[in-house]
Amino acid sequence: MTPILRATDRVLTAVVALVLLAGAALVIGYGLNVPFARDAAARIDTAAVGRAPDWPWWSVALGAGGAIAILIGAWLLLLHLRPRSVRAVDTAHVGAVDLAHIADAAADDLARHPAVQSAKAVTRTAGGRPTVRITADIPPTTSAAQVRQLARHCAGDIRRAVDTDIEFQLLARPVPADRVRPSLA
Amino acid sequence: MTSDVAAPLPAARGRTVIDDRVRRQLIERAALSVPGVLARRTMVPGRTLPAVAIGGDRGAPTVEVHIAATWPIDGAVILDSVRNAVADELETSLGERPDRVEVTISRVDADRTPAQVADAYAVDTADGAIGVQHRRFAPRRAAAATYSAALIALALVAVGAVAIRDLLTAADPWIALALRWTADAQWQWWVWPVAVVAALVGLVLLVAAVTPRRRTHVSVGDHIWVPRNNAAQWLVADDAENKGEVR
Repeated sequence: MTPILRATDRVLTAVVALVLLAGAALVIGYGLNVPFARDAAARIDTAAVGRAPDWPWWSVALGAGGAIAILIGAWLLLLHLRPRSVRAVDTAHVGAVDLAHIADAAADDLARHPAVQSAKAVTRTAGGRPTVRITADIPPTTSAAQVRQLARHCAGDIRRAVDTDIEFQLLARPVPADRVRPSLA
Repeated sequence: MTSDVAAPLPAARGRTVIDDRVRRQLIERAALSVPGVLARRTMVPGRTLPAVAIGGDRGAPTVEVHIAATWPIDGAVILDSVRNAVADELETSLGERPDRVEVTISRVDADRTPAQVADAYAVDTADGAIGVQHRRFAPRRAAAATYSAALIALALVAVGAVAIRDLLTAADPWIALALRWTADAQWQWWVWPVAVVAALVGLVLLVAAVTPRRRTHVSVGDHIWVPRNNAAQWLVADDAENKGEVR
């Protein structure tokens, strides 16, 4: 998800929130006989609202409005459903690598280490930089020093494979003792 | 693309035309000759590797090669080796020097056994301890505004669909009915709870719009991030191990 999309989400949410708050305030004010709310309500021609479907441009407005609403809504939904992973990355020399596949291979390899129960990788952009993030399930029998060594080694393998400057993160997820695979206990 | 071989043959003897399929096979063979490059054959079109695309001018083609490799790989070495192997093969076999060879590692397979992995990881190749990473790189939860925006988008699609439905089936319009009902609406007791609920929803959405995304992990150095609720536990265990080593 890009920072622009995140900002769009916030703006959209804020606009809907303000519309809801303003509408609710107006209605509550009307119920409490607040002059401003009463004046505002008096200025609304409710009869015109009821007559709107009879106007000649109603069908055009309905069709155009419906199409625009569907297009904007579907576009926003698609932006949210789009995979967030980073794929091709240019290396420091001429050439490119598929970062997602590198991350998957590194996670597969790490998951085979006896000190790790399982590992899964994703690629993201964090702080503006392509980032490989491997979540590893660590059983209680694995020491912190061992995890540190695994992380350093894995980072070295990935950086050597990618041949460019990227971020690496090992998210160490402790596995409760009762969920440790028997072969690792 | 086809091209004439640049060899100085007499015109009377005709000319040799080399099809791009030949080039592709030569390039594939050259790529596969590099240690660590794998052949992947699949039934899915476009997923077989090495995959070769040839473009450019006669005698100086541009070549794009996608390869699969076996983990672990040295990206710089394998990319250079494949590029050189492809260029040399084309020059040796066809007398063509490619204008450009672009190599992409499109797939990586890890097939080491647990014992091999354990042996490989036993060698600590890193330069030493790596400090705590800045929290701007921290993994974060999705913002509440992301969910609300997705719901708003769904609502937009639904409203648009109703509008299109009303346009197509004029006999039973929903929006026109709703507008006429609104025009005739009078103050009712239930307007109070509806207004209060709308205000509360608006307030929740406003808070969601400005609430920053929560960090889920904290960095403890050496590229490791631990869940926030496990950070203290991790640091205590780490500290105890370090003291044990010192003793």
